[in-house]
Amino acid sequence: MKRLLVAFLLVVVSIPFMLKADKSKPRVNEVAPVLPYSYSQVLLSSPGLRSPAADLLFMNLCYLTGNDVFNRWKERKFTEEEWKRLIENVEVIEKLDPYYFDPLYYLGSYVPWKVEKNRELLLKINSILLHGNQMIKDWRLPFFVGFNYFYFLNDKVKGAKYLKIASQMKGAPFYLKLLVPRLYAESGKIDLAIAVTYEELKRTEEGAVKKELKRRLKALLAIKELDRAIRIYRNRFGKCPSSLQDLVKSGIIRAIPEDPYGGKFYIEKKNCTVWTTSNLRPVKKSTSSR
Amino acid sequence: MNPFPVAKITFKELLKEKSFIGLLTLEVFLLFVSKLISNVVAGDTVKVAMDFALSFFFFTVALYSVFVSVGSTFRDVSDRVVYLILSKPLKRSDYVLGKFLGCAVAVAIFVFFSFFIVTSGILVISGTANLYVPHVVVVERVFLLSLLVFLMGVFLSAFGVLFAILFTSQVLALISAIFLFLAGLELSPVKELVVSSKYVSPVNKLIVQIAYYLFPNFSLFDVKDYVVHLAVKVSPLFFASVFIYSLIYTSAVLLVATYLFDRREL
Amino acid sequence: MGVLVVNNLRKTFKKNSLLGFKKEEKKVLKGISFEVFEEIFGFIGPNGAGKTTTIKVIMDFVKPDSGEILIFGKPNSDISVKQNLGFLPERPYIYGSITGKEYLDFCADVYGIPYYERKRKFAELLELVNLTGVEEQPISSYSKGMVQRLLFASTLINDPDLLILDEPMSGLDPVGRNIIASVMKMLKEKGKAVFYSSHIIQDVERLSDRVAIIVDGKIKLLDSVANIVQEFLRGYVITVRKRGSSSLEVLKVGVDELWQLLERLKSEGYEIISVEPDRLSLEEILVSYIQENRRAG
Repeated sequence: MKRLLVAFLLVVVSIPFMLKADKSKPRVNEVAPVLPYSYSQVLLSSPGLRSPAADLLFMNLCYLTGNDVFNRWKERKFTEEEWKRLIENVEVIEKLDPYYFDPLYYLGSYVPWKVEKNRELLLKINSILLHGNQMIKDWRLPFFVGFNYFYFLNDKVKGAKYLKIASQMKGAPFYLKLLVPRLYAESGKIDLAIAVTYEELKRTEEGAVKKELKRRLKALLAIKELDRAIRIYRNRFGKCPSSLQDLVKSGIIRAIPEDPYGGKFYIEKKNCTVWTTSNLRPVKKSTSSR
Repeated sequence: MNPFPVAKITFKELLKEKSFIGLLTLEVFLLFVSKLISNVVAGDTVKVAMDFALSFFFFTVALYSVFVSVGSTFRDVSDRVVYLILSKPLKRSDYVLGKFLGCAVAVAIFVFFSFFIVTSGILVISGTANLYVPHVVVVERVFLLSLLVFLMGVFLSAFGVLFAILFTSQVLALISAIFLFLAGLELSPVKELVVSSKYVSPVNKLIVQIAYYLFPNFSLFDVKDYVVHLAVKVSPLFFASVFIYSLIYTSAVLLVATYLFDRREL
Repeated sequence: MGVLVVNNLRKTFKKNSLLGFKKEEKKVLKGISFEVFEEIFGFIGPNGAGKTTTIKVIMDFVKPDSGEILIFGKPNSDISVKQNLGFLPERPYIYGSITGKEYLDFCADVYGIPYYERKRKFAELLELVNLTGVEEQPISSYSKGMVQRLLFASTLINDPDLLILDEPMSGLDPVGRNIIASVMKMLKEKGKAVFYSSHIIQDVERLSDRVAIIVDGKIKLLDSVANIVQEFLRGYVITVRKRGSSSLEVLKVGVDELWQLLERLKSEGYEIISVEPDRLSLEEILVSYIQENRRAG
């Protein structure tokens, strides 16, 4: 009993030395909290544990992102280099576990907003998402790609292309189908928009969507008609008409068609194209929004 | 050839060992650990919990097979039980084969109980998880994984018996068997990395290739992804080839074990 | 021909160091020959003389460098000879987690004893070694002597014609030793052969028909216990009392002079109380051989 007491006391006596040593221990001052992980190193250090390794990396990622959100890095946000590492880490996770959806969701939905100025990183994100889409058949992946193209990279055609892919996948919400023609139309590709709408109209069974698509088609055809009239007008007068009324006055069309969405067609002076105040969305009595 | 008496007594002895209940209890504990880990992650917690639970299952069975086969065979020799057995009209190859069969049956029972523990564990985890998109657990797939894990355990038991005969130290035999297992798991990734690398010399590539062909490939038994991700498809041909592969390789290992044991001075 | 024939057995153990350099050789058996008939054959010698090695070679656990072993006229590597053989190793051990009955079941499985005979057979064997009633308990709850008795009984399960026992008496209390000795005697009466090694000389002297003394890998003496006793008879110790006197006198006499002396004592009116042989015990013989060997070595 005495001996045990002495042993315990000795341990207690040793504590201050341990603390002193621990304080004066040499430490590496890590500036960047995001470590770059290499696929081969992670793979080799976790035999038979690919998926748990991927899970742990993703946990690490979520933790770091959470700290970034709540300003834990001594009042600073992630640098672009750190975001680049994060994106590359998601790539490693996807290599380790190609069927893991959540990291891709994180990558598609959150990261682009943080690196919106960096074209290179946005394209990298898109390529990772598309690579993931080969294994995971989820409509959200091409949707994110399309959204990035459309919103951050200002490439409406490519955006529409990937949104179209997304809209045709299982589980995609029906409004995506309506969004695609609108994007085409907004980007000035009226013919593409009409073609896509036709295609969707043929495939859709659901009554409400079908009705909506018909209305959309009607509006698109009207825009197409007006566009053609404007081209004729420009050929004839060598300038853009100041308003659609000019087209009627010059006798190219008989009357301005009605927007089935309840808006009014007008000429965008910048490109001399036709658009509508409804933005191809139903207008609720005298309010129009975009 | 009459390996069955030895198989029977080996199996009876092993089931009463503490390691059987001990490792099963550990498995239950590790299920809770999996659940705890999965709580940390964002998104599909069931996926993460299953990843961990199945990995723990996989490694517990591997550990059990190695411990049981090495421990039991080695103890026989060092505790002189082998004298009692071999004084009876049994060939030495009968003894080796019986030892192996007894371990295989013990592993089968262990996998059987583990299957129930793990399946009910992940069913409870997926049932109680609060997910926007529920993660479906297909019990048949867990069962198929368990079958492969059982084959792996049998395969490892053969190696355990071989190493217990080959080495004169039990610790050495255990460590060798565990390293063999880990190396067998690494084989495919190493080959994948080395062959596709620009920086590896052709000679080393050849060495890795040869090792890939000859070394036991334990990563074949690892079909956890098939259980976790419903999008993964596996053809019946895969299961058939893994079965035949492990059958042939196990026989080869046992042949070597009987050869060594026939020449061993006891 | 004997049940067990051992002919000119030689065995050298090579001690390999880890890397295979520096081989050390140790000659353990230097030409051992003997023959065992339907009798109790004792095999005695000091520690390290080669008793256990000889038995291991006989049981085919170790291969000899040269020499021949025949059991029932067949070479010992023939697995069929073990069908009629019983063997108990030195300090025997069996898994503690199984029960006594499970071990007996294992033995019965090996010899293919049908299930309906087992109950009677097991009861008989357990009765023989005084273990009735413990067969359902795990062996880890047995004492060391009980384990040894159980394993001894299990060697009799196939009704063997030859029993080979390595130190069957060591680790047993006097009662246990008595049990084993009486079973050995019983087997001999049934016409079976028992070959056993021991270092408890008194038991050997009491039990054996013939003994072999092995010292340093060689057989120094092989004869029946009766012959050995006679050969090593130095004379007799005679206790007498003169008629009418109350004090005893002790006389020592050589082997050849016994009758002469007895005649003389009788005629001189002495009363003979006892005549005892003055001989070397087996133990003394053994010790003398060991000492002789040391001097020679």
